[in-house]
Amino acid sequence: MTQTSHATTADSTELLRGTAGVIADWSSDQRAFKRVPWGKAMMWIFLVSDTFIFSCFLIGYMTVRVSTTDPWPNPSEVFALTMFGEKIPLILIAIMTFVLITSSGTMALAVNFGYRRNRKVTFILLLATALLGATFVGMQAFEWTKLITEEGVRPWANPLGAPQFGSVFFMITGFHGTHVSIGVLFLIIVAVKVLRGNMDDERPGFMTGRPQRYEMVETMGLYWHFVDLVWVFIFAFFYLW
Amino acid sequence: MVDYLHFVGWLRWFLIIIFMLLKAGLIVAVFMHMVWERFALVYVVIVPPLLLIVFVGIGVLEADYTFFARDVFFSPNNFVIEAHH
Repeated sequence: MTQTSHATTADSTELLRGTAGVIADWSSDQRAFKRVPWGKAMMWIFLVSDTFIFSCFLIGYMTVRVSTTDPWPNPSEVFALTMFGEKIPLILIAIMTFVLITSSGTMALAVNFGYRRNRKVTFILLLATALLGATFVGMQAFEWTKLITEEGVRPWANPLGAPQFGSVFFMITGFHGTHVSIGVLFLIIVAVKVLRGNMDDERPGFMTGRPQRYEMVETMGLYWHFVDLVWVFIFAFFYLW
Repeated sequence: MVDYLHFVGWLRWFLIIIFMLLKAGLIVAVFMHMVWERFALVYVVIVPPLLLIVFVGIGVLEADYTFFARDVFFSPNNFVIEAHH
């Protein structure tokens, strides 16, 4: 009896907002992130740790680029493609960025339609996001192939200038591409779950046994937007700098 | 875009950084729904990465020193040290 009444009062009382809410959340001797689904809180904590991984790579790249005495190759020339008889700087990277941003848009729409409990549209949007992500990885594979076979860039050597260029490039874009690839796999898994109606029926998940809800789509969206976010920094520091 | 306009030096860096931060902020705030989250979660996500600014500073100091040392000791055109012998 006391337990049920406690649960209802805790649920019905309006939570404090702002800084007072932070203090109340942390000092409440209960859970700190009130009314945040556990999956979402865990995803955020993973993303913070992932931020540190990518930041370490980018800071390492900065250190290596500042300290090298060899000339750094000009990225707008290295990544230029000849299209229609004209050399266009960074065109492939620009298209890749556009594809990734578009996929972020379809992902946001998928989250929206998920909360409206529109099963079919959510599925289609998730699948579109996965397709755009796969396109991105495909273009990255093309870019790597061109760099390896035509320019002769290797992780340990670089005929265009500083050898550090090769190691940093393959390390950072490779790690990001891995994130995108894993994201594509998970997008397909979540899309199939949505289509089967796991979220509508709140069926237990196969790993946790907890009821599956449309919050899963939002958690998936957090990861996907994070991958896009990382690309913004890679694009700015590696390709534009 | 900066390539076509041939911006160089501080203006180019400034534009790159500004647009990068604007876009990153937009993604985190709107797409990742940070604006509507509870502040306890917002602080947990936003505050630790601020430490990275310190890390960048340390990296710059170290890299500058390494560049200086390489220039002094490994550069074939640098005879300053040999001149003393």
